[in-house]
Amino acid sequence: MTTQLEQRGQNLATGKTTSAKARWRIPATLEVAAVWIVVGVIGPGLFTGSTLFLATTALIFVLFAMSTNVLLGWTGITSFGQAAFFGAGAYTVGLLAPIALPPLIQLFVGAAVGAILAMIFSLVANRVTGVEFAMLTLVFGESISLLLYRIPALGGESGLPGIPRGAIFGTSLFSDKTFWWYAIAITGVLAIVIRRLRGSTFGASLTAVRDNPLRASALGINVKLSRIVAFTVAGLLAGVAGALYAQLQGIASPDIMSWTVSGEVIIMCLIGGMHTYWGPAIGAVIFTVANWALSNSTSSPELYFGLGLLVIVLVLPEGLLGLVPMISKRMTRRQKVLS
Amino acid sequence: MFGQIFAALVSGIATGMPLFIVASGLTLIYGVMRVLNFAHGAFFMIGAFLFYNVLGGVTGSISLLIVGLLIAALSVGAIGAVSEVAVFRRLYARDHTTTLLASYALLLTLDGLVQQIWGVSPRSQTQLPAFAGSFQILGVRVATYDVVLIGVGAVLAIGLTLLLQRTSFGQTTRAVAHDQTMARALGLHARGVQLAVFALGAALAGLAGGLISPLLSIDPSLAPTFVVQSFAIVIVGGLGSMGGALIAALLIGLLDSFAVTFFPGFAGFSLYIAVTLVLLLRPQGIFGAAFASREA
Repeated sequence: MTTQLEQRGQNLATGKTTSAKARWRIPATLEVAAVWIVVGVIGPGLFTGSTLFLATTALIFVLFAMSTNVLLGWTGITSFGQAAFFGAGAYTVGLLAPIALPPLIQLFVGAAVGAILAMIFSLVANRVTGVEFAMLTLVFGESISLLLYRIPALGGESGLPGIPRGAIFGTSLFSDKTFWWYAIAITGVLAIVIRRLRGSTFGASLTAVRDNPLRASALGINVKLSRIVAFTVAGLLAGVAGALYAQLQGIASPDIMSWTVSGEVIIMCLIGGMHTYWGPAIGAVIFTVANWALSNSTSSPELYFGLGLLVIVLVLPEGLLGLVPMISKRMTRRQKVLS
Repeated sequence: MFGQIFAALVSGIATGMPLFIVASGLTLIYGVMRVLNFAHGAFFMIGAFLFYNVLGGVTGSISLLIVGLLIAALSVGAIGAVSEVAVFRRLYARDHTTTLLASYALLLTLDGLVQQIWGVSPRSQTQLPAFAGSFQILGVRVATYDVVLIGVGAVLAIGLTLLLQRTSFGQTTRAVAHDQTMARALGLHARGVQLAVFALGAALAGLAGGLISPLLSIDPSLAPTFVVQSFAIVIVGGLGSMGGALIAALLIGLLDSFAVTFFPGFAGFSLYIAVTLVLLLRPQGIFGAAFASREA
């Protein structure tokens, strides 16, 4: 797979700026916005009641998966502790509930808490990388989740219930339909930000860090700083997703901080394909729907997710979206043979 | 004061030794294959469930206990061998993170299977009557079973060290761990060694599951809990170092029991504090790089 950076290098070397095909491509920002608007409009038409609630949950997990993929897919950092930042966002909203702040302000605070926590962690933990770093994230996430049971203000087993959805610009978010629009707007804006980030110099530098840290630092990229910033960005976005989740559910409960949630978000990224923009989003939707369907029909959805993940890791490392270029390549080859 | 310290010392070792027994297999597998195996927790859990099934919840006699342990260890060893062939063997050439994710997938699969077979309701296994009591040393009450576990842990630590350092199998294993390609070039059967080590590591997890099951509520939450604990031991001890794992387990046990006695607020956190300190001050672990050379 040629990376973005290599592609850019080749384009520079061959003097090509844009190929004929690329000139007709829709601008990335517009593409993301269009998808979000279409989904936003057809959502309440297709779903009502509990299925709309499920769709909103899926939407929030799309944001969570995209945030995790900044680490996993872009920077090559495996973190088994992302639930801590997601949970930090949720618990921030839970703690702020008595003050009755506007929902958007709650999101900002949740984002800030997620980002600060992630920044502190990555500043301290950046001495190790790879598998050791993954273990440290796991241990960090577990100790944060242990705190939930130790600090009485965090509610222990019962969590922080009674989070009101509040109102935005005078419109109450109480009904699932208005909350859907609110969630669409927030996740849509952030999805565009993530898309722009991916295409930016910063995004390219993360790819360089992922593919070859040594070469990246030789090119003048501060590898450690890039990793820290990536981790902070992921923590920030996870914080927003967690805050949204708490507003949707009306409760911040300790089970969202368990490391199995960090594992689930990794599964989402891998199902869809972590090296594409849409992969984690598609993975999150598939996972949420499958999880819902499986928990209605079987007592142990883990079995199926485990088997699915095994297949992905062993034969489809680029996820479901990795099938697209494979199939299209086969199609074009067939066309060439025919003509 | 002395009595308190002595009691904390004894209970610390009694907490630490089971941790070592669980983590020993993980350390072995990591030392040879560089595979950090999430599924180890599931292996441990399956060992506990099988032991429960064989004995039906009641440990009647010492021979039954041994039969139960053997069945648990051998069956889980077989599961380990199958997963090595079906999953891990295909991934040795890929990067360690991929293997980590594959082992996570295996953990989920096995966890799901256990829930399908045994359900989610917790079970309990009684102790052998001879081991159920306690006795007094220097005014401190010590549970008999804790002493048994300390003994088993010590035997395992010595046995595994001898196996790796003194036997020809150990020599071959160390050669494969050090440089697989070179070991193959010298005509060593690297595949066989990897399979054997993986099966042995899994069998140790199964044995641990059986041994520790009387102290636990046997249910599907065992796997995730024990994964985190044994990872912590292996990290603190230095990935792949058997002696390191033993010392780390004892250290963490002691830390925890002293925390319980003297700083109750920190109880339960000692595992995490130890891991954080070690990774920050000495990322290679207390005894890192002792077992086999680490690649860059």
